[in-house]
Amino acid sequence: MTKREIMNGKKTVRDDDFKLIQAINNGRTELFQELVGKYQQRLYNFGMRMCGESRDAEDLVQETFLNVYRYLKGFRYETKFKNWMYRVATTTCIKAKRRPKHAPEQELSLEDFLPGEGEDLPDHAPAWAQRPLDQLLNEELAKQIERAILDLPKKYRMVVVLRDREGFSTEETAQILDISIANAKVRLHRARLFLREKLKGYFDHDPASA
Amino acid sequence: MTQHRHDHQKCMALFEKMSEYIDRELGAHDREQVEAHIRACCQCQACYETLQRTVDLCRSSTQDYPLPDTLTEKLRALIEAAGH
Repeated sequence: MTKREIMNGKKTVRDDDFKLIQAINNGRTELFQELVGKYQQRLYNFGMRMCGESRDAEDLVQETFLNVYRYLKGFRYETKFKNWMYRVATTTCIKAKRRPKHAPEQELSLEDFLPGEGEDLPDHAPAWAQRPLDQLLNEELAKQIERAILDLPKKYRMVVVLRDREGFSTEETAQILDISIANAKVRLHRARLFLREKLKGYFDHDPASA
Repeated sequence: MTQHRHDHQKCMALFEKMSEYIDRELGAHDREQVEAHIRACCQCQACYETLQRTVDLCRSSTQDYPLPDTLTEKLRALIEAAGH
């Protein structure tokens, strides 16, 4: 349960972690391990979704918790703690220079996803877009989706991971990344179009899966 | 099947707003326009259905990755070292 209050003219967000963080900041630093226990799995998932490799994900989790520990006293309760922690994680991730084999930092343009001149558009959705979701999902497809996300340039990957994998709203995603909501929407849409092309390719080459 | 007349401008307008439509972030007026266009344009309907399905798949295929055995202990040691 999250409550928002106005204190001294400033917005204060009282979320589930409010009391725990106050206690840590009042000297009970041993309680920081509770935060670690609560969020290490989520942050590790985020690291794997962003980096694709266990060692990089571990580094991300360690650097994030270390920075959260260092800067927790500066946390002003202006947002949920979890969102602030993700901001620390994404900043850490942006600074990290990992795996050169990852997608280059190119811009994705809307035009990249439009049909070519004279190209016919399908007038009905393919089977994979119409079959019940639970009949479609399997381990192989989940891996394809992970690979496709890793093929996205980082700034698009980050938005789609926060929005569609971690479950943040568009507004929260924009706040975490310190970009405008309009910018978050543009990046999200292009990232999804990119992923759709990858899925089309996957199902076109493996019609049995569709 | 009846040949559909493709209104490029309307299709482009929808194409740009499709994620906002999927996320229910459009105002009532824009939403109604999108819905009317999707009903009338089978190509845009197909485009919408594949994008909606892409988002559904992304959101539904999330599972926890197994945590490395040593991570919790590494974090404990890291925080303890930082605290002194």
